[in-house]
This record gives sequence, structure tokens and C-alpha cells, in this order.
Amino acid sequence: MIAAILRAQLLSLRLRAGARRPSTAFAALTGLIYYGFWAFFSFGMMMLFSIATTEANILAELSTALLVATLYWQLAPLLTASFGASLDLHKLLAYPIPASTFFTIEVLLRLTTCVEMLLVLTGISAGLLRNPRYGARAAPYVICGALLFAAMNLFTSAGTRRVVERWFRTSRWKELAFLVFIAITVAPQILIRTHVPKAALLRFAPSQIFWPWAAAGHLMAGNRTLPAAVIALVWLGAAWWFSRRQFFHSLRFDASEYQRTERETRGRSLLERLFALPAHFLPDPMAALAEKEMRMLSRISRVRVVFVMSCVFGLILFLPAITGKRQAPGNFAQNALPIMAVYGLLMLSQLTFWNCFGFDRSAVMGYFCWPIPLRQVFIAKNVTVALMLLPQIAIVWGISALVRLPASPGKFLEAVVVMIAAALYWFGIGNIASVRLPHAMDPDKMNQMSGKIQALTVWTAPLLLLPIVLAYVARAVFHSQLAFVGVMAIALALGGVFYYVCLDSAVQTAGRRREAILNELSRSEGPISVA
Amino acid sequence: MTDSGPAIVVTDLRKVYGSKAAVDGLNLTVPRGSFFGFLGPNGAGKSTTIRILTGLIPPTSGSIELLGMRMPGDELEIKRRIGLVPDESMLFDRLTGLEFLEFVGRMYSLERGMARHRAEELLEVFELSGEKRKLISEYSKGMRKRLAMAASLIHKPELFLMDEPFEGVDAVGARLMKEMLLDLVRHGATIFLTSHVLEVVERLCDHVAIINQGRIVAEGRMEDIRAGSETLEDVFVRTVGAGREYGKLEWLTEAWHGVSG
Repeated sequence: MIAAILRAQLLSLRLRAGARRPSTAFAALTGLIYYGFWAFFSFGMMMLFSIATTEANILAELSTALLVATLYWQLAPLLTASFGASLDLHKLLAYPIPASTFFTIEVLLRLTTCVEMLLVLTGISAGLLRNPRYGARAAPYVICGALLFAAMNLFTSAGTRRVVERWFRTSRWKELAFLVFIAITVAPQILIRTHVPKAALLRFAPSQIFWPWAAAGHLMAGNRTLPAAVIALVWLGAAWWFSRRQFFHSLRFDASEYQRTERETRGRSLLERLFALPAHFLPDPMAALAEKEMRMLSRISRVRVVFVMSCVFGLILFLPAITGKRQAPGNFAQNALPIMAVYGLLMLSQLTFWNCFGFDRSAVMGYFCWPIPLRQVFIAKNVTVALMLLPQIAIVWGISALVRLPASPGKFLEAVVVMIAAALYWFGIGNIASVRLPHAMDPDKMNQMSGKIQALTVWTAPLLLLPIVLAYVARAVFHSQLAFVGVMAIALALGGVFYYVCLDSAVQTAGRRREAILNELSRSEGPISVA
Repeated sequence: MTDSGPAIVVTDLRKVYGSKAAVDGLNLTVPRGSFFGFLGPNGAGKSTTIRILTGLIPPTSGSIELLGMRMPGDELEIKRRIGLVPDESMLFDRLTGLEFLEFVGRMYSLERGMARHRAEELLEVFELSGEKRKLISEYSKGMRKRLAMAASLIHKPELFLMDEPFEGVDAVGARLMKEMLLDLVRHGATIFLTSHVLEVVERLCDHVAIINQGRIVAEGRMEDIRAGSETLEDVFVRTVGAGREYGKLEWLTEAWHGVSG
């Protein structure tokens, strides 16, 4: 049964991959580089844990490494709203398959989101086995500890995925929930900087054996093995109960019960006036297209969540700079606002411009059937994202001012200019990607970019920012604002030319590949959806 | 550009996928002001033909003339004058019915106020005004089809290309749509539709073409196609063949335990 489901999925993937082999090879190469990096990091972990040192040191290092692994394992999917592969239960529930079989597959599919951490865990285990202090005789403890740790994370991740998926479909407060969640992740740093007594904090330090990562660490290091094993098993049991409960809850879940009232629009509101904004400065059909984009994007939960996160995620990134060097902020903190704004744009990229027809799905055929030039469709979609960026910069600016990062009106203007420059390059390449690598996205699911688009982001995004980086380098080297403005002006001009050329290419490619684009955007997934 | 010639002239149209021809040397003439039924079994090439006619996919070879204009060449003008109800959804799920119709109207250069006014009226006629503020993702299949039909009308086209327009629509909705289409034809519009419901085609259409394996196997006026007392279904089955047997699925036709066959 499991084999049949996996085979159906492989067949549907084969059909998709076979469509465009060069881009598949491109994605595979990027995957190789990405996982090569993690393999290298894992090798570093092995070397680190091979060094014979005191048991206390090893325990501290192990607890820290496993804590970071847990955070990455559990938080990375939440922060990127990307949950890897999962069973599409609606396609499978009609068949006479026991729910427990689905649950097993679901947990195994969680492996798709944690290959990096499995590599790291393997490196740590190999390091301990090579360590003269432990050696091969410690193998049973090391293996047991690592397996318990991995299983606990797998179950937790499976449960979390289902909870978040239901949130996305039902909760009106998901944006707020994500904010609270982010606040929780930065809470330890804030606590450390506040006046809470150190003794009280130490009682809950991550190295205390009652935490799951520390228990696994103790077990792997052969220290207090019995209590460590019992605690690790208790955590594993709790994670299993949590994931199973959430999975079976999802089996009985009917999102439509919640959606009906949520999705009815409420007449002319402030938002309606915002939607009508493009009509004030754009002619039809561009204004109509931009208005339609704004309406659609604002009604997709995932876009709203990522938008909110794009406004505040920089806070996490810059927290050390904020709390550490308040008196004399360094270069990084000085330029925090433009960097946070560009990072926010990158976060929005996957949903808005790397694959700009993704949410249109089969309705994309309208753009080919209506009497409108395709060029205007691209421009309207890009203008919409640009309009979304203005409030985003304003919010990031406000937050920066609140936490005393450099946030003068000049910095705001600089962030806007940098954002426009970055947008010109990214929109340009995004328009080409949208017609070369189109991929249907389901607004009701947390589905993410296709592997190819991810590959494209990894390869091109940093490279395309080079002209902007050069402007900052000019300012730093020549200590001159004039040098910065000069290079930035060149970057903007080049960006304009680049955007124009890419737009032209995208329009022509769309005309040539319209059949393939339609097919790709109308395609449905196999029994496993990648999210 | 002529307003008196046929609405559609297709000459030697071919569309090849790999080694398989989905449309294989198709020749077709649809008279202006006719209600033209385009029939064929599944996979015969009906949807491919409609997609080529709307410019959604390019043909491998052959020539197409719509309303006296050549495709490709006068695409924008052709698009302005045709209305399309496709087989797949051309609807944006995250818009409401009203927003979608207004948007489509503006795509056809209708002024915003006019687009909204016509959208409201169409929703009323298609009995969707109660749902006009509901997102399209909440619509049933029949409601979506009715909305697609409304969208194809908003710019008052003179030629309609419709792929299974009544699929999923309830009897009341289908009747309304049929009456409206007949009225449009009476006022000079041309309708080219595909349908699997032969009774509907028989009742509505004055011209019919049957396509099988990418080729036209029968074409003409309805009364000429139905020779003698044959129904359209008889003609269809005779033309495309009905050699599908399920008797060889012995495991399926065996009686269940305790039930005599």
C-alpha cells in the first residue's frame, strides 16, 4: 500500500521532471551544492566531536549543538512557511487504507524537511565514535541517543505541520499567531538582556537534562544514562502523542465549515479604497490587473503571513546588533533598514514574482484570451508587489525606530531606493522565471516554490544584488555619500535596462510557450503534496 | 475584414504532439449566424480545436479565419469580438463573482462603471446575485460554469466558442442558458459549442460536425446529418464506432457470493 502511494507520487514527479530536463538538471545541481554544504558542515561537526576534551565540555557542546538542531528542525519550516512533502489526504481518504498507515507515511515524509539535520546528527555521532574518550564501545549509547532525538523531532515536526496547516485554513488570527511565535523564539535573548536573576534563568538553561536535546546529549555521551534515557523516552512519547492526535484531527477536519463566513467580503472598506488606488495613476487594463492582483494576494493567508513576517523577521536577524552595540552601531546595524527591507522583499519573492502566475493557475489562460498585451500583465503584477513594498518599508522603518536602529527619514529614503533597485533586477529575472518555470500554487495549502524556482533564487538573488552592494562598498571605501549616490544611480539605470530587456524576453517566451505554461499551471499533484 | 462571410473557416488544420496528431487535417466552415455543434468522443480533438481557435495553443500547420480575420495576425481584434467559455476554469478563485465580471469587462475596454453595471445585471440574470460577494472558490461547479458564461457575454461578442458549457449546470440554469443562446443566435450571433449531451445539441444546433481521431467524419446541416428516422445519437455511434465490450471482464461480471447470475 505504502509502495503504491509512493509509486504514484514518483510517477507524477517523473512526468513533471521529464517536461524540462535542463531546468531539472539545474535544480539538481543546486541541490548538490546545498546538501554539499551541509555535508561539509557535518564533517566539521565530526571533527569537533572527535576532539578528546573534558566530559563537561562535550556535554555542553552536545546540548548546544542538539538545541540548535532542534530549533532548525522545528523552526525553519515555520519561518519559511515551507513544510516539505505531506500526504494529500483528500485524494487518499476514499480508499480502504487504515489511518495508521497514513500516519506512518506522514511521519516518514517528515524526513524530507530535515535531511540537513540528519546529516549534522550523523556527523556528531561519527565524531563521538571517533573520540578516544568514547570510541566504538559507546556505539549503543550514541546510536540510541541519536535515534531517540531524531524520532522525537520527526514526530513533533509532523504534528506541528498539521496544526499550522489548519491554522492557515481557519484562523483569522494566524498573522498574530505567527508574530507571537516569533516573539517566543527571540524571548530567550530578551530575557538574557533583562534583569531577571541569572540563577533563575540557569535553572532552565538549555543544558539541563530535562530538555529533550540535553537528555539525548547525555545519553549519547554516556552520562547519567538511565535518567537521560527515561527523559528522552518521555519526550518521544509526548511527541508521538502530539503528532498522532494532530494527524487524526486533520483526518476529520473540514475546512469549509470555517471558511464560509471568513471569506465573504464585507462591502466597501478601507481595503476596498486601497484596491482602487492603481486606478488613480494607471490606465485600464493595467489598473484593473493591478487591482485584481491586490485583491487576490490580500486574500491568500500565506501571502499575509509572509508579508507580516517580512516586516518583522529582520528584528530577529538584527537583535544582537540592537541589544549589543546601542551606543555605537557598526556598519551592519547602520544599514539595517535597507538590508531588512531587501530581505523582506526576498521573503515575498517566492509568492509574488519568481512564479507570478502560480496563484492564477488555469485562469492564466485569460491573459492569452483577452484582448490585452501580455506586457501589461507583467507590469501590473510587478507594480502590485512594488505597492506592497511601500507599507512594508514603512513598518520596518517604524520597528527600527522603536528599537533604536538608525532610522532617520534619510534612511527611509535610502531603503526605498535600494528596494526599487533590487526590485528592478529581481522582477526582471522573476518575469523570465515565471514563464520558463511556471508552477501551480494552491492558496489553500502551504505549498512552496518548486525546486527549480528555489534553485533559481539560490543562484541568482545574491548575484543580482551586486550593483547595490557596490554602492555600499563605494560609500565604505571612499567615506562619501556622493560616491554611494553615484553608484546607486548607475545601479538603478542598469536595473531599468535589465528589467526592460527581461520583460521583453518574458513576453516573447510566454507567447511561444503558452501551451506549456497552461499545462504546467493546470497540472494537479500526486497523492503527496509538496508544501 | 468582411462581415458577410463565414464566422469560422479552418483549412487543413493540424496539431501534432510527438508522433500523435490530435487534430489531423481538419477542414471546417461555420456559417455566420449559425448554432454549430462540434461533437466527438473523448480525446477526439474537440478541446484542442477550440484552444487553437482561441489562440491558446498554436497549430502545427493550417490556416484559421475568424470573422473574416486571420489568426495569427489580427489576434487582438479577434479576441475583442469573441466570447469564450473554456472547458477548464478561467476564473480567479480569490475574487468574488462581481469583482471577476467587472474585471473581465475592463479587460474588454469597458469603462469601469459600465463594467460594474453589466456585471450586476448578468449576475441577476444568471441567478448569482445572492452570491456576488462570495469568493469564486466557494462556488459549486454549476455556479462556476454560469459565471464563466456570464463573463463571455459581458462585452457582447458576435462569436462564441464554448467547450461543454452545460457541464455541471442544473436543469433550471441549463434551460436559461439554452434560451439565452438561442436568442443570441436569432439576433445574429454565431455559436460554436462542444457537448457530450447529444440531446442538447440535437435540440439547439442547426449545424453539426463530428470529429474522430482528429478528423471530421461527418458535417452538415442537422436535418441532412440525421438521415431518415435516425437520432443524432444513432448517427454519432454509427460514425465513431461502438466497439467497447465489457463482457471480457469476467471477474466483474461474476455474481457475488450467494447471488445467482
